[in-house]
Amino acid sequence: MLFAVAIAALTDGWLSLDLSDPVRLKASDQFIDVQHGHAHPFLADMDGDGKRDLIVGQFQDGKARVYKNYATDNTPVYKDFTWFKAGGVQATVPYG
Amino acid sequence: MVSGSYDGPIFVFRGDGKGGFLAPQKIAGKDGKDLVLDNAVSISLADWNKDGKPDIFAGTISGPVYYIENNGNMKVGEPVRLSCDGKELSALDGGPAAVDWDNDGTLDMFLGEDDGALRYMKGVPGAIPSFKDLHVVLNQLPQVTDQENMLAKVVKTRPTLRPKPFIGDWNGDGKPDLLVGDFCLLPGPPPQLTPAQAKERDDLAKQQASLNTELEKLTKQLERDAAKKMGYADAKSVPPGKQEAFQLELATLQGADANYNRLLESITEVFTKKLPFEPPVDYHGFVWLFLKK
Repeated sequence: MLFAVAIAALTDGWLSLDLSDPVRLKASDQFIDVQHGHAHPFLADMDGDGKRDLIVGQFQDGKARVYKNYATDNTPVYKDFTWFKAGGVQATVPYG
Repeated sequence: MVSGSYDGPIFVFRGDGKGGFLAPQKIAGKDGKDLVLDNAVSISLADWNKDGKPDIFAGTISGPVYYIENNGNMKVGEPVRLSCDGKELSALDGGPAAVDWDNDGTLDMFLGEDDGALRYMKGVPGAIPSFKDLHVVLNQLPQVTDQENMLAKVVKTRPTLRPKPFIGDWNGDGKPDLLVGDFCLLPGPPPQLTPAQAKERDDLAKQQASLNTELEKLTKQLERDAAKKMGYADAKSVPPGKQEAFQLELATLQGADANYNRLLESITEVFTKKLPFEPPVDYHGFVWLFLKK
């Protein structure tokens, strides 16, 4: 009971910004979960098909994943991912 | 696309005009050297001064949050430390997202922090960005000793540590939604133990509990001693204004107490022996969506 009260106290603030309760995004019915954490999301049309894809930076190897949007901009569906490439190779930034 | 990095440099991935990206270039400061603000630099791009070029908002590991004007052709202005309500902004492992959330023509900011907090602040028009009216979107998570188990429950309801926000229209309804990436520590699968190992783990757990009880008892005694040295009956009687001096006195007594130091060493030793029998900590990073209603 005490823990339930504590959780409730952690889950307020967004309502006053008119935001719905959060959900974890999935790809192929699994939670998107990047290696060594520190997920940093971004939306952009990466493959030029006119639909917004999901890009997620991660700590491990300083890489970013590109989740292609297989459906529409109104109901995005993600399945697998490819690594973000630049200059013809897998792009990385220094990660410590 | 622009990315920060753990080591500090900021990388620009320019489009190649054919749908791909060129090899990254690092942004240089006015001295021609790599622009490095700190470690764990987290970037958001948005055009503050409406000159058609996206400017940089950068969070850092040690707290300061910066605005860097984009002067075009890979040239940038001097980093300016940002403030909110007249105070310099500080967010450990900060993750900013600058966006005109309230549609008033001035960029606002979401800012994530190491402890799980995510705040929103309104932009104040001006040549240099500043903000006001700090609003908590996500409260900080409690500091507890069994953090992994706490997070295992919290992760069902909200992002956990080091939230990194991004604002974009996720479902194409014309309204800005909030996406948040996080850093979540969860217990991994428990190791398969032989009966002998399980017994050893249980014995060590009993030792650990006993040592912790002993340490707690001794700490209370040393707190009483420290309070008495300062002229108070007990630790509870020390007024708030004297707490810093009290903590210093207590630390001195603890440092000089052979029994206290022996207990600390024993607890560390038992903890280290028990570690291989415990579930490992796994690092996760989930992506959360808050749809704008």
